[in-house]
Amino acid sequence: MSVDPPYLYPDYRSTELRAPKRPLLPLPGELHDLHAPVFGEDAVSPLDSDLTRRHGGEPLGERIIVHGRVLDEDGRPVRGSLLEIWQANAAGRYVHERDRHPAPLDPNFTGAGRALTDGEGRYRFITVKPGAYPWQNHPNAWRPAHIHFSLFGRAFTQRLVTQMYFPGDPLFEFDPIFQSVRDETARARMVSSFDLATTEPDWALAYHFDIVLRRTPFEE
Amino acid sequence: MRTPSQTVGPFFEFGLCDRPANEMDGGDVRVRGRVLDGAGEPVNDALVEIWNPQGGFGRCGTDVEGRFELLVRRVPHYEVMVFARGLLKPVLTRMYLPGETGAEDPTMVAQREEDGLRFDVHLAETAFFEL
Repeated sequence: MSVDPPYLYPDYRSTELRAPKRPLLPLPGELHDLHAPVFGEDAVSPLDSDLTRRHGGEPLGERIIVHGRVLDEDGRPVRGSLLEIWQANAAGRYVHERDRHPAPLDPNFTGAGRALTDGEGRYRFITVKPGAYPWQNHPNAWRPAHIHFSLFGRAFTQRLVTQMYFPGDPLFEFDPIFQSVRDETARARMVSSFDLATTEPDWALAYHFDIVLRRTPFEE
Repeated sequence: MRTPSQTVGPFFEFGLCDRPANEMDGGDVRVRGRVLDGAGEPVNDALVEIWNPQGGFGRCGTDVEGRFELLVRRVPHYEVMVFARGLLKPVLTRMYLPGETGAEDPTMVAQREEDGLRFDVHLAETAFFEL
């Protein structure tokens, strides 16, 4: 069974008019040689990975550390690659003009961050736990709390946009976006784990989330 | 097992487009286009990425009319990846300059306009590669 969801997944209504209709063509072989853009230290400041210190005060919500490693399918660390995240605030509201959820915006929280992986593929963000929020897919539809992740890896074929979920969310079984990944083991890859060892006492809880990209197609 | 893809959703703009990235260094070709869905309606929440196979990368979110605009360096073809709400994984196509040979499908050839190129992505009609 494929790891990725299908293009057409009718339970997620927006896929119906947006899924490709023509048979897919084989991937041109030379795309395996294409490198991802390199983002240097100048593209990312240390403050970019702390989403709680962008404004005058502290955001409301449960302060959390989200950390892990970016690896390829061979288990090799993906070094010096860009991660970008974006998320709703603790009330489940996005800083976006089209988000109509009647939950409060937080003047101390935007919800976007970026980081580069270190020499062992590690990254670390400080943020607040996002809230669940309603959407219009079906009656009483709610998205489980999640953080969006965008990764470049080292190679074009490693480009990935995914979502990180939180363990034990009761909304999993009702969410067609989560369920669009049909393989149970693959779904579990998108769920972070609570990480007591990394919590900071009297300050923040921690979640661990490793991300596995396609294999690196060339030697570095 | 690798981590599965999920949709970019409708609210990526403040995370992915907060720093302008639609003009590549040394870009001299303006590419304008639209992303359209299976009913021919504009996709107003797509993220279009153009990868220059010789190095260089640009991206742009679509506006209410589904339009995007990028400035790229001239090469025979570009890799074009589109993310959107309703796309659980991105679609990948190519944009060939008019007159270039080798296009895998006629939908992959851009059209020349007065001051640049036009390249529309029809999600139901454009040919895409298997990722």
